[in-house]
Order: sequence, then structure tokens, then C-alpha cells
Amino acid sequence: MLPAVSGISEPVDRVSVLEAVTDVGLRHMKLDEFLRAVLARIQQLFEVDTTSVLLYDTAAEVLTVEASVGMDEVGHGVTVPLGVGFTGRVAATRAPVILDRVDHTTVMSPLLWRRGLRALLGVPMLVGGDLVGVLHVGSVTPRRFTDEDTQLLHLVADRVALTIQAEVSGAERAAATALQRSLLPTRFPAIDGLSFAARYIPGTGMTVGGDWYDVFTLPGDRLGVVIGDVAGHGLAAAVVMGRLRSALRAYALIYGSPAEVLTNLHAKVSHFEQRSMATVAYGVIDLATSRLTLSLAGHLPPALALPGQAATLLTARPGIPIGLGLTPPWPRRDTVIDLPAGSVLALYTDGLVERPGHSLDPYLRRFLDAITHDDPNSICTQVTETLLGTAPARDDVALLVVRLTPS
Amino acid sequence: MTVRGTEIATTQELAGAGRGVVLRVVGEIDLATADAFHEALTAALDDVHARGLTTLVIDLTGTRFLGSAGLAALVRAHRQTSRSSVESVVVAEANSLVMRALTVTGLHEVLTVTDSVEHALG
Repeated sequence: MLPAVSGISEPVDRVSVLEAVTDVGLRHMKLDEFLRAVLARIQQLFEVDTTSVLLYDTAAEVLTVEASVGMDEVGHGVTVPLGVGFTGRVAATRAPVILDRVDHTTVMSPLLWRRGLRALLGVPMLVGGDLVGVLHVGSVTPRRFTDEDTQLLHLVADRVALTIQAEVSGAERAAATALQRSLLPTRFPAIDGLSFAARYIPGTGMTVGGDWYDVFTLPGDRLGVVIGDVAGHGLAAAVVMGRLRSALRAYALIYGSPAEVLTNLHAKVSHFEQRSMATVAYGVIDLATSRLTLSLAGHLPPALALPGQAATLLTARPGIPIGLGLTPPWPRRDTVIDLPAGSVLALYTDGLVERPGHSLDPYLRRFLDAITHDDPNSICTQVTETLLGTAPARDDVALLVVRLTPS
Repeated sequence: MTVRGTEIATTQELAGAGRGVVLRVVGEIDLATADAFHEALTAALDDVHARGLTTLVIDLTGTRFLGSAGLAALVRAHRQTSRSSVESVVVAEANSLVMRALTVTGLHEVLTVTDSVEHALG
């Protein structure tokens, strides 16, 4: 046993610990204020010299110091990889770790040993089994942390984890929504003889996904139209969508053929975003000849209503989706389609027509029937009302309508 | 995140006179369940390797919906198996929503797809 040290005469009182972290006064604080307040209370109740909270970034698999009390130096932007050092070990094993020797052999962060700590206790912060971060306390005098200490710190960690997760998921949702909005065109190019309208509808719970549409002019009197769907949801999908959108625009400037653009996009995503997959329909409208050159990467074919006729789905060979390093069984192809004046072209994502347990066909039928020769805005309204009604969409939905003004 | 409380049930069993493992997925594979589907695929694949078998059969005849997140999980499993000596076979009924999802995306020409577990192990 280590010698008893002054200041730890009484075991930490369970009730006062719980009161300290569930106090109503904490409820309306901002996250950083909340953390500092809770850490100060932990410092008092556990009679420790330092307390710190590190948050776990699931994408980068690192921990970052979010708040500390009692530290001389602030670890601005200090990150700890999962599994490395003391906090890395707590995070990787999702179990408490107690150290009674704090030096470069046991702890990676020089901040902790420079502080002169002699003992450390760290517990994982978990919500429903998911790692949110690590909470640790340190003592500059030798101390043996007990099972009781560990259990109590666990209770505190659970409470702190819930608050952090609520805050982070709210912030993530807001960021994803803002990102998604910033990436969708707010106005369309002004081109004689063409009008556009589009809709983006988030899925249930207002969760944005990775659906996007894009319209841009290209050199040589040409226009690019895009619709795509990144597999996944939330901030991660929105970030990948942003990268795909930019990369596609860049390749569109270099290569004239949509198939070639998608081939390069596929190589780029497979190499740099290995875990991502997307379906894309990309077409180039030649304004001089009124022709659409279209290539599909795993995406549902767009619909076309010729002047005075009902809409039909375009027949284009389905290329495989973008990404995941798949080798296409055949080279991607372009399909060329005439777009006479008065035609309406509609591009959409699968959320519009897919319903669990139902065949696609009746919904595709209703979609085609809802496409009129009205102005694009009315068509968008008609299509979304017909297919989505008033119920919230399960998956997010994107719809882009292009009309060639009747001559 | 939760999307309208959808769920999937997965069962895993040895089949084809011990030649392969069949992972049967009942329910809807969408955003909410794609992670569970991916985990079930990984576990089944580990099982195939641990037993020294040659085939993983992914039986989607009881699957009512296969969204893009589910397709991505299938493709990942396919890429994992194609690096080893294990073959992954997807079972989907003709004219089903699952088959349609595979056809629209052109993935029916990349993945091995058949219409019954017997054919998959035959």
C-alpha cells in the first residue's frame, strides 16, 4: 500500500457526486462552460489536482483535449491516437485505467508528466456503447485510486458523455445541413431557351443525406447537369458529396465526354475516399445542337417528356456506381439524346420512387405521369406532391427539372 | 440516428453439406440498418474463414428494401472476399426490389447473383 496522504481521509460521497453533475444550474450552460464547471466539481469532490476531458473523433480515430482544470499548460489541439499512451488505452479498451507511475513510458502527453502527476485514473465516456471520449483525474501526490473512485468517476463520465453527445450530434446535424445547403445551387445559369427548377427534401428527422444536384455552364456553349446520391447520411455523407461535386466540375472542364468524366471521378473516389460510394447521372447539353450526352453510374435513368408526349425513362446502359475501387465490367458509355424545343428533362434520386416492400414500377409510373410540359417549378411541385404527399420522406430526395422553351 | 424504427433480423447457418455459410437477412436494409447489415456480413465472413470454408451466401430473398448504404456494404464484402479464396454469392428473386436495385446500379454484373440458396451452393 502507498502511504496515506492528507486530504483523502474521507471516501468520496456518492450522493454529492451525483448531485454535483446533475445540478439544474448546469443544464443551460454552453458545452465549454458545462465541462469546466463539472471538472471543477470533480476536482473538489475527488480531491484531485487535475481533471481533463478528451473527445473522440470517430473519423480520424484520435482524442483531443476539450477541457482541463488544474493543468499548468493548455493542450491546445493536442491529439492522442486511439490505443496510444494512457488516454489512448482507456479509449481503445473502453475500460478504466489506473496508473501509479506517470512518465514517458506510461503516458504519451508531456503535459501530464511535466505537471508532476504521480497517479492517474481514466475512464471511458460511453453512450449506448459508443465512445464519446475519456475523462481522467490526476494527483501530484502519490495516491492509490480505489474501485469506489473508479465507479464514481464512471457515473460522472456517463452524465458528461450524454451532454456532450447531445451537443455534438446537434452541431453535426446543423453543420451537415449548412454544408448541404451551401453546395446546392441557389440560382441557375441564365440561358436563353432553358429554364430550371429543383427540390431538395431531407429525410425523416430532418437528417440530410448525400443527395445533390448541380447545373453549370461549360466552355463551347455547353451545359452540365448532374444528380447524385452518396451512400450514407449526416455530416460524413455531406462532406463526401461536396468533394464529389467539386471533382466532377473539375473533370467536366477537362473532358468533354460524360463517360470519361465519370471514369475519372470513379478513379478519384476509389483512391481518395475508399469507403465512399455514390450513384451519379451526368449529362452535357450542347446548346447549339440541342443534344444531351448522358452517362449513368449506378443511377436511375432520367425521364424525358418530348413536346406533346408523355414522359418516358431514358434508356441508357447502367454503369456501376462511383467508388469502392470496383473494376467496371465494361467501359462506361455515353448515350446521345435529342432534346427538341419544348422537351422536359427530369433527374431525380431513388428516395423519390423507392418504397420498402413495394415494386419500383408503380412509383416510376406515377412519377412519369406527374411530369407535364408546365414550367419547371410547377412540375417539381406536382411530382413531389404526387409521390411524397404530406408524409415526411424516409430517405432524402433530390429532383432537378430542365425545360427547353417551346419555340 | 434512428429512421422510423426500421430493423433487420439476420440469421447465420452452415449449409450445402458444410461448404458455406448462409447469412439470411430479413427486413429492410436502409440507412438505419446498413451498419447492422455490415456487421452481420463481417461476422459471417469471419465465420467462413474460421471454418476454412469456400462460400458466403448472402440470402436477400427476405429483404424488402435494399438502399444505397446496403449496396455499399455488399460491395465491400465482395471486395473482401475477392482478395481471399472465398466466394460471396447474393441470392435475390427475379423481379424483386432487391434484384431491381442490383440491376439499376449495374452491380448484378459485378457481384455474383443467383436466385436460390441451392444454386448458390451448387
